[in-house]
Amino acid sequence: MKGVWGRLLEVDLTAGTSRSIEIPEKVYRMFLGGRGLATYLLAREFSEKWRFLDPLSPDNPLLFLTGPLTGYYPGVKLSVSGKSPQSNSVIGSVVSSEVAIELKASGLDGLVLKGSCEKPCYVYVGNGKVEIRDASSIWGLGGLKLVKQFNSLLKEDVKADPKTPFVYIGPAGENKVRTAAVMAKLAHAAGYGGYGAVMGAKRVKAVAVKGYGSLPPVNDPESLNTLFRSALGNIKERMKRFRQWGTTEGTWHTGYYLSSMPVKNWSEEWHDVKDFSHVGFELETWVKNPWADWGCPVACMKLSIAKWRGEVFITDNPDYEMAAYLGSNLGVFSPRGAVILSSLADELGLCGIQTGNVMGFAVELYEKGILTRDEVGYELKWGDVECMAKLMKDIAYRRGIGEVLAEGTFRAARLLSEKKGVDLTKYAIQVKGIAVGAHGVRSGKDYPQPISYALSVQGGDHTSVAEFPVNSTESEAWYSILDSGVVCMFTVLDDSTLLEYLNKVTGWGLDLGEFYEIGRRVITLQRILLLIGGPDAEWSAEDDDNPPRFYEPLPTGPYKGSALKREEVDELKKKYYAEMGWGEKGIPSEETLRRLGLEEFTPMLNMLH
Amino acid sequence: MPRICGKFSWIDNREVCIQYDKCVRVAEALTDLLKQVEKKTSIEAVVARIGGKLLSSSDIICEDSSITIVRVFKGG
Repeated sequence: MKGVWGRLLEVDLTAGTSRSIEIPEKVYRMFLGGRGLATYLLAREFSEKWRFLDPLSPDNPLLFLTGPLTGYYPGVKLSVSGKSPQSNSVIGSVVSSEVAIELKASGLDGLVLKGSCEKPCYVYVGNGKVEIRDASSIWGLGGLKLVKQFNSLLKEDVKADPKTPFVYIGPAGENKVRTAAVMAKLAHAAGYGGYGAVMGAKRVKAVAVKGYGSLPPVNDPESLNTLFRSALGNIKERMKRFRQWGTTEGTWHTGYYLSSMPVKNWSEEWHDVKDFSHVGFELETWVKNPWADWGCPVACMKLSIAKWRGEVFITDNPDYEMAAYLGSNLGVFSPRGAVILSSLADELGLCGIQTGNVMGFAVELYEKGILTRDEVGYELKWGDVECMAKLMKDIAYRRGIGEVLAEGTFRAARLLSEKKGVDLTKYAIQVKGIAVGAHGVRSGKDYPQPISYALSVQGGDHTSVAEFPVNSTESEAWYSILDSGVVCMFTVLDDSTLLEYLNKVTGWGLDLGEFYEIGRRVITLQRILLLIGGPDAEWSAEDDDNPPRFYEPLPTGPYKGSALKREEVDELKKKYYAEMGWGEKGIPSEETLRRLGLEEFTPMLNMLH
Repeated sequence: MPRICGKFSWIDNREVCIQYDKCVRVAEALTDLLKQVEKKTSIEAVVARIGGKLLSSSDIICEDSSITIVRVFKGG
């Protein structure tokens, strides 16, 4: 086996034991690693029982996986997966973390956590050997304080190397907030999916990994080295602007030119506040430019600082998504304000997208008089950083109205609709439990297409959109390959180069058709798990739709009046089902499963008919 | 005086051509070609090839060429 070890480490937190799981090469060839492998392992283990698996129960495995390209392709990403407490399916969430490299240098392709600790714990994997240790002294902490104290604890408790990387949760994860992220390095987050809550439900505060071995051998080291050098040079040259601005450039480009940025819970998608731009962030908040994670030639990260009321707030850029969701979506149009809220989200261990989305939902309900001051405890006002900070903390600690909002937008809308006796789901900008990424559809000027979110097996995830043609870099198949590889989308070249890379690493000799078939296989299996769903949410073809707001005309900006057309969405939906072999109701057919080598999962289809 | 044509894979292989009066860097040609078709995609998000050869942004084109342009990521 080349490029992978064929081995995962499974840790039973309840029993305090661990074992090695061998993965045959055939499985890697079919699913690669990361998102694909997680989907396969979960479907195999739970099959028809998937519907009854509570994502926040100890039975839900939490998987930290690498892929065959980890360590060889420029950059480093760790895949975090399990049954998502947001979508009740599998979300392939990724975070930049050297834990991925350390796993491979430990002779492992990944780590699977099962069960739960009786009291707060952390997991340390030192050169392949696992220890489950007491984390009581760091429970409750987040951000810089946590990182510093955990570094000391690792050194004292397990004599870990001072440079041992780790992923962790903040208070939000501990409180099983469904919008909690798995964090790394202060400002990095595996946000989509809500896996911070899964980790919190297991009472695992952090996972630290240090390996001292080599990476697994590759099939063709010499030509891989040549390809690596040429890819590195190409990426570095091409991504110069990213090095300068990161994705923060979108704050102006997407907001002003494309009119596709969430403004006040997506009631608008356009702004013309010139200071709320990449240049504004640079002038007002950036102190370091740029920085990168291991092996990344792009270096799109910055370091931002904002002072407010005697406190110092530190975060990364923030990137476009954070600036959008913790800025314009809350009516905050100042770089300083967005940095303060991004830094707070980092400290609390919250996903900025999912949390900014549910906060915008709450503020709109307040503005409309549906939520009252008595229920919230204070006034909610667009653009008011102080009340937004208060609301965010209430969510992280499940206090007051935060208890409902901590369930995420989809569930909060459902709960509040029941409580108020009116349908509030029309204010919920989410698809299948996942808040929609900060790229709108209505102006037709940004990249998402009418079915991008509606048909994605990861709901509103803007990094996994469903588009045509399916066998191309436009499609969700492509993004599922990147998440299974596991590689960062900002360091990729085209599909033929990535395939050439994969073949040099693994020696599989796949052609482009087989390459895209991997992506189709992954999303088809994800689709089955999504449709089975449960236990508290189930989806059907009717849910293959956009948030109702996207059918309302844009009220402002150069594309005022533009909206999605339902007939167009319906037509594309049918076309996509047909292209994917998913049948009229969006259910993958037996024939499709056979063609993709997924016959063993055919019995799961019985639950869907 | 190269005539450079770009074929955009994500816009139904639409082809746009520009006549230059001197040799041109790939980065500049891509920016010009992209401007002709849309403003949502940045040159960072695309990968270009001439035939089988992967182009680098700093490569210089002096001859008539047909470039295949593929978008490899969206958003951020």
